[in-house]
Amino acid sequence: MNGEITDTALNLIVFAYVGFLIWLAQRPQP
Amino acid sequence: MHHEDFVKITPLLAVALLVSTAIALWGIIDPEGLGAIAANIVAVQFNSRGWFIMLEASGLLFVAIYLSISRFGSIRLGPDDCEPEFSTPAWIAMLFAAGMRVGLLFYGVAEPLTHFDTLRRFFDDADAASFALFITYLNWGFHAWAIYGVVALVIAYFAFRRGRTVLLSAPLIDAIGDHRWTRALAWLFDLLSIIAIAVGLAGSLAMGVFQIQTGIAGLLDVENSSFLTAVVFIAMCIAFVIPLRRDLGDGMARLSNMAMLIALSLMVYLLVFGPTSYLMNAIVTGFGRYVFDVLPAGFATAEFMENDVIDWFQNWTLNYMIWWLAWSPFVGVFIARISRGRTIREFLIGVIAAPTLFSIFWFGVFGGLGFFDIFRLEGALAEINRNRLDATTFALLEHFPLDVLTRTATIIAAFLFVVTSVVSAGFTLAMIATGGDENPSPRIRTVWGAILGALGLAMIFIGDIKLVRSVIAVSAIAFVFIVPVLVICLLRSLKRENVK
Repeated sequence: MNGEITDTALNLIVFAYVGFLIWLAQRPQP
Repeated sequence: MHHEDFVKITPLLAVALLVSTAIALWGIIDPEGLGAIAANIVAVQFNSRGWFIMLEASGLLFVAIYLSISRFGSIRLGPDDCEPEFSTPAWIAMLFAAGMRVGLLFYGVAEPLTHFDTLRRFFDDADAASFALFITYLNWGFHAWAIYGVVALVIAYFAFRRGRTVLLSAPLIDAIGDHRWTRALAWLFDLLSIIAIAVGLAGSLAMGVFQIQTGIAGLLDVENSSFLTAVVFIAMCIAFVIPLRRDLGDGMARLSNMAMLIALSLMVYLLVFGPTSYLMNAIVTGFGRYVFDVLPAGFATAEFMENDVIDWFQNWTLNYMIWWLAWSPFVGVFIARISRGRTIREFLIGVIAAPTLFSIFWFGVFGGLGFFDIFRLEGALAEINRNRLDATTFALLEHFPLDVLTRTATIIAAFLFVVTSVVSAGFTLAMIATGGDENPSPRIRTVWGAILGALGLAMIFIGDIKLVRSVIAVSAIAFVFIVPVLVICLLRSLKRENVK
């Protein structure tokens, strides 16, 4: 059970990270 | 300019020294503890994020293919009117040298035979043998070089075309903008690349020591003892501290060429004096299977298989992908430096195709000899391989005439490969830690040499190659998340380029 929570959390971080990449790609050029 | 007596202590340098020293001390005082924690972290990461690591490795290969066929391919890594610094044959030879790592000497036979042992449970022997070569190629081929190539491309593009430093912090500031958060993140990128390089190279130093001592013990018929470990380790430290303390001009390049030449001669020797047509058949069979099946295999994780197959997949393929990511800032700087003035297209094709073809040839010869032993001789090599991976190459050489000579040459080549890469790592670490000083002072280089030695000692105390690999993997996990950010930076900047 404990392992499953860690597993889900680690994957949610990956999804959030992919969101960050998309945000980064969409930012206006400097 | 050389500032022999003056080293500016920046926060980056201070924190990097502190963290690396702390890891080294931890490993020396409590090697079991460090090894166990690293193995634990890696197991959790690989179980939960294995899919993402494979997706990323394949994604980088597709980015490389896209960039080389797109209109961006004609952009030069430097001003529009610049010429490549090295001739194309010299450049390709240097790329081979970048790809020729000490690992090839020891895993040439060992890796295909290990995969064969796992795969023959599911396939008939003939199919298992060609699949074993395929998996070896997958681990050392296009994906590995796409990781190196794309990171090197990012470094070269921002350094030579945008006039920034060769550090990984440069793309972020240049492509996203100079904000407080980009500066903080960029600083973190530099710190993490220092730690990944230091731990990665120390790990390869330790593995080099184990492998060389196995070779020496067999050659001189002495016990493979911890005394021998100490002798090899101390000899190696002396050998890499001297060139870090004083400039040897092109001496290091010559030593590395010599190692390369020995390795190549060894391969040609085995091809000529071994079962030549058998080996050529192995190379062609492996090549065909690889080229036509490589893309889907890059996405395949072993999740639907039994637990020990999943372990095998994580210990080899996933571990290699993390490993290439760990070394990408180090190898990337080297590849970038020799590639100034190339177009993105020729850069990517050269960096990805040339070393991969070399690996296909190399593992075809060594792995082919392993399979020849299994299928046509008594199969003694496979048994040795099951007991001691680092003894397999030497056992193979014993089958051939002049084996004292070839085994000595292998030991010398391995020694030179390890020493030259540690020296070059000492330079790179000093350069990154001083914020991109292309000519870091001998003093700071020697400090990094000492830290590499201490980290190497910690890895030797850990003792188990599997645990050493875990420590390297932990130090590189951050790169799973850094590399895609670098790719976004590159694509953003390319969009601003004015290309037809």
